[in-house]
Amino acid sequence: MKSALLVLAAGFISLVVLLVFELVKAMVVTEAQTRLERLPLALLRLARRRLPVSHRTSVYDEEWLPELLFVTRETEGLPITRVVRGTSFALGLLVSSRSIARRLGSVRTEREPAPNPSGWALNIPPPPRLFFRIMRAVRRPVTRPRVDDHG
Amino acid sequence: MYTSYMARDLRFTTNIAKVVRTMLRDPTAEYYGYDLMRKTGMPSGRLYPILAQLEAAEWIEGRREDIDAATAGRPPRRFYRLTPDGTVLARQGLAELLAQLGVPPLRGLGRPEGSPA
Repeated sequence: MKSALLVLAAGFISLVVLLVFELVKAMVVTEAQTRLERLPLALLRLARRRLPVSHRTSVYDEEWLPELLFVTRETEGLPITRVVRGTSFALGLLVSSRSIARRLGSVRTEREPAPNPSGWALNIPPPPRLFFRIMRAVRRPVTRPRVDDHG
Repeated sequence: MYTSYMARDLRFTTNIAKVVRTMLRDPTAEYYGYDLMRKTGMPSGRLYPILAQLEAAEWIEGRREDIDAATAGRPPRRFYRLTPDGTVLARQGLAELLAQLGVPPLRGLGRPEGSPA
């Protein structure tokens, strides 16, 4: 009777462990998939940061981002192809962003309103500006008000 | 290494030749960057600097698609088209490059203006 209970308990515990394992595995896969899907856009944003401010709207917002979204849309349902094509597209631009800006020179430097906010259709949250603002504020040396003892 | 020479203020390289040759197949057509990547077999890191160079030299002009982003479900893309001057210069440049290499003129690209009949 005792051993039967033990076997039952062991079976139950194994079932729970197996369930937890499967859940964690699914979560890891989803996490990896999401991060990989975000990789091309993250690389493209890095490329944007390498561009002079004068070219960011016309080059990144009006050209690179719509093209990347087109690439990702075209490969919908093919996650590996999507990541490979998107990453190679963004990586190439990351490497050549300075050269592109240099070659454009004064062409396309006008600042037009961006056609779309960032994160178009990819459901990617905008960069955490607030976080950087807070960090900058924290790092800023504190200037204490001068106390004039005599006045 | 590539063969290069000066064509006006543009250094006409074999990579530039590859891009303009693709565009010269239909000089009035609109070409998107990603489509040109496919047609020329060039990666983005090589193609986009060339497009920038061609645009700065006014061989091509870039424009944004006239679509409604909400209806299309995507932002408007940027396309490129050869300018009339760019078409002439591209044909001349290609013809000169091929002549340098001793290759007969390519079919379907038309004769460069000012070349002997």
